[in-house]
Amino acid sequence: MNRPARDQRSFARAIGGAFALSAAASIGLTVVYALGGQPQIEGALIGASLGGLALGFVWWGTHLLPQGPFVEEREPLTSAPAERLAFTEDFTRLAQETPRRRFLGRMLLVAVGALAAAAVFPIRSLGPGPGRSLFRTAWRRGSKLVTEEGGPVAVGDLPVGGVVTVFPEASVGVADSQTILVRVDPASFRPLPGRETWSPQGYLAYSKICTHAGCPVGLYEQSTNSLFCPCHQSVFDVVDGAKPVAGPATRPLPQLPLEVGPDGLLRAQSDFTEPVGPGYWNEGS
Amino acid sequence: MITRPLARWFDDRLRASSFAHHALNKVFPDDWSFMLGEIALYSFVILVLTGTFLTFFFTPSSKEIVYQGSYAPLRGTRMSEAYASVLKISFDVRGGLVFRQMHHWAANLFVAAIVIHLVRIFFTGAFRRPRELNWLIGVTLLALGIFNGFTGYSLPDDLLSGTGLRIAYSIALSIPVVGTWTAFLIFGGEFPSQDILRRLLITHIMIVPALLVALISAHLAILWRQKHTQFRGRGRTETNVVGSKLWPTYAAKSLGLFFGIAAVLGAFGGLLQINPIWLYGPFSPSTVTSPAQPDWYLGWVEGALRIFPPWEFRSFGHAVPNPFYPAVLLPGVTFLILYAWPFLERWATGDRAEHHLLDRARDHPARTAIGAGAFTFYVVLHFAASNDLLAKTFLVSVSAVTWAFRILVVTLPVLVGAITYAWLSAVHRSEAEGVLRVPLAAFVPVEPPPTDDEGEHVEPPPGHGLYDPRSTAP
Amino acid sequence: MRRSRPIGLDLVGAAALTGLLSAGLLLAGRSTGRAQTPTASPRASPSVVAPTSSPTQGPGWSLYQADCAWCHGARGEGTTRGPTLTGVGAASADFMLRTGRMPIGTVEKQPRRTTPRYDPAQIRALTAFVASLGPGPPIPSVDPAAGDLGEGASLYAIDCAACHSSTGIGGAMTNGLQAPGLQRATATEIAEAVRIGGAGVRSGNMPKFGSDVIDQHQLDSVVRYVLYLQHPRDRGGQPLGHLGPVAEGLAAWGGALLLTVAFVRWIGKRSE
Repeated sequence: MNRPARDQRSFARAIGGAFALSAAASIGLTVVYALGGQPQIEGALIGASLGGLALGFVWWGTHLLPQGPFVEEREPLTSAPAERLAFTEDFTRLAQETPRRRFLGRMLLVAVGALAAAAVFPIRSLGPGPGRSLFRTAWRRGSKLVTEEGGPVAVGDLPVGGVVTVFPEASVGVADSQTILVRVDPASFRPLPGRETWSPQGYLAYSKICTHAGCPVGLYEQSTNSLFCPCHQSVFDVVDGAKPVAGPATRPLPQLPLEVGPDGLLRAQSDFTEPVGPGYWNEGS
Repeated sequence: MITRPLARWFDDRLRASSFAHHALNKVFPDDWSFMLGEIALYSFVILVLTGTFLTFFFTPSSKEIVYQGSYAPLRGTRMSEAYASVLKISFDVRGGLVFRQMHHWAANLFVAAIVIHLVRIFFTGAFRRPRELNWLIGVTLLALGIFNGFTGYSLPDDLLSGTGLRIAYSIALSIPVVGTWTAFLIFGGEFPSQDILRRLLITHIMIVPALLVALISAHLAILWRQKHTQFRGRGRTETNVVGSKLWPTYAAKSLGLFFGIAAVLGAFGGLLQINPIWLYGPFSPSTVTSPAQPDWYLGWVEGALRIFPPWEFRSFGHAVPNPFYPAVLLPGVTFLILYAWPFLERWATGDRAEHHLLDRARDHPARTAIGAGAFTFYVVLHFAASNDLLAKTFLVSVSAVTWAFRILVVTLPVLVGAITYAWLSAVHRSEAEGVLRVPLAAFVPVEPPPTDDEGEHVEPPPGHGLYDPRSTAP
Repeated sequence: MRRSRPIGLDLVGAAALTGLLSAGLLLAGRSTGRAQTPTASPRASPSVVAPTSSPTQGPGWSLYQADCAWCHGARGEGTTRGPTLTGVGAASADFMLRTGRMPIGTVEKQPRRTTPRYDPAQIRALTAFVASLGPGPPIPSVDPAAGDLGEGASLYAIDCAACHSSTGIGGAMTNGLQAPGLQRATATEIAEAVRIGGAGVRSGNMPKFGSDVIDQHQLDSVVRYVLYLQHPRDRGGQPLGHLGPVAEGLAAWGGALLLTVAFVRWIGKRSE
């Protein structure tokens, strides 16, 4: 399509202007870098520098160059039967001209198969097997509850409505042992059967790992006695054995049995009595 | 100028003139919707360029150090070397933050462009023979793009992405029979492991980019070989391509597009903050922040995890836990159907012909309706991932929002699909009669069925795709 | 001339339906979370204060009787409309009054921050009166400048970020409750909320952090960090509300993709 020369000249000027703007922005960029850099100015100048080039090329392509329409014929995509035949013949000649093809083919398969099987084994080095590690945490009988700073929790430390994250004394920060400790009004709840001694003076300790997908259940709403997981919004009822009452979680948070030592410090009676965190295939074993 | 002797130097060694001449004159149709894939392509180029810069400064180490760098609020805080290195990129390396943000915006744009490119291919039937192979490659590119985005934003080891890694670990755990082994082998042990950051880095900068480059090259090579499809119209048939030539016009516009995309990403990289990891803080397995969402291309999985009811299968000491269904089964089925679609449609319609002319969406009411319904399904899941933000903004309970989405996700796609089908069928029928007699007719672009130069109705010749012995093409 | 194909219509339709959903949620939100409205409402303007010597007849008492007794009882014993104020202490009263959460005209599950109704002198008087009703936590003293920003960041991450977000924008909790955003909180208000456990109907929704868990220096530090979050270092540019990946995804689609697709439409042709 031919455009009037006047039009083309004005577009050529516009393109030149765009490239000039781009050059100015690029120079500006070097100055900004030399002076120490500033992200917003850098971003604006990169935008201008590249945008000038973009404008220039697009105007060039849409106003100064032949637009067509041009037509090209398609070739058939399937090969000519003669060519296909020639290929097949040449390709199968190897197999055709080899004696005892079938026996050799089978032996090749055996060799390659065995090599493939052997090649899979280095994957085993990628990590330890799960073993029993998902069934245990670092909590033991008599483990002192300590905060993330390492200080023990005395029985008078938390007001009713208070919350703190605790770990076993020797394993602060160990992920699977993270436990959330809350203090509720002892008159406001009834312990589950078999757990009557687990919650002295209203202290309740649950695994902080959500049983849905493993996020720390860090949101404690003291007015409703709920633990809330921010990832997929599961809600656990603190005074009912941390049973899930909303959201996709299906299992309660495991409860850590607590006792008060003679020194007034909170300790665990034992490890959790069920696996912590999200489920897996053999969790029942 | 220098170009002629230089070109001759190469040609003397490669005998490239004939190919180059053929290439220059290759015709590409220039409908705008054919350039959506190029948005993805050029975003990928930006990803590689900015990503290379970032790799010079990132340390993939979980070793704990005490930060003493230039971001004051975190001085004295314990963090991994990886997180500290990203703080250094963000605050101390000149231009570092702009390149980091450009890289992250480019990743978001890359996957978004792939999605709308896929949508265009789907609704115009461009995946049909002979382009099934390119469809399969394209779906793989989508999966790799999503995967690499996840590994990429998990590298800084910040609180938000670390939470996402924990969820990924739990999803792996939930796989029946092999779940615990899968999780332990991928992560190198129980979460959080010391090995995962290095493994994420190698995957992110070497393994997946190599696959992406190979597959993108194959994708383009096949497109080059088969020539691009085109819409029906005057002068356009199943046996030609109408458009502009590769050189100089198409190349100029495409180059302009590259710079345009780079300009947008550059401006975003400096002007719009993304992933401010210094505000999230370093990852710690016993800490969490809210709202906690992944990057947008995983929103559909996250939404599914949030609204899927608390069901799981448990018996005889074995469990298939809850996250398996929304986070393994759903994505698995999604990609299975995506991969299988050209073959499913071929089985359902019996159409085995070669197609180089594109459908309009109304030409296939069933395909368009299924696509619209499916797209609606994933959009609803995507928005379900912000159920806590919606609850906070509109002052309703999270449970109410969750229930609303549970209902929407099963009803809205069916509704959209049914309405689309009924309406498009009516349009298709009345177009054949030459008169438009449908509800909302004002919204339908009025167009008679496409014709060629002689005014004959254009249809693909039956049985096309077999070799024509009369053709003189090589 | 070919124009938009039904693809665009479907996307528009999906967007419209989402908008309808949002509108529906908005309407639903208006009808939940509000209990019945008492037939009388607090007097529009506080009464003039008459000077006396006895606390039960002081300026605080008069204000209380005029504006608070209707829900909280003449002697702070509580009614069906409002909880008892015995033992809530000066900290609680000061927090509620300074942030404008009290007084409110209707019973609410979670009173929200608004413009305070009283001036500082009236707040002092009312606070003194409520404190006299029974022993309770005093207004905590806090000195953000004495706190350590780094320590505050760590404490905030452990104790506050889960509900209030690492960026302090707040978040949804259960049952329609909210962890409010912290952008307008003053140092004293933050300290009060930490010690008394926020502001709710019966007791605070927020956990209480006593001085055994967060000592004075730690309180100074965490308050200093919260104040920092009100003007954080957004070195990367426009923070998009500090909402995180949700806002970033919207900007990617509605900003970057929209711009590039518009660019592509400009460059390319529409089919004839």
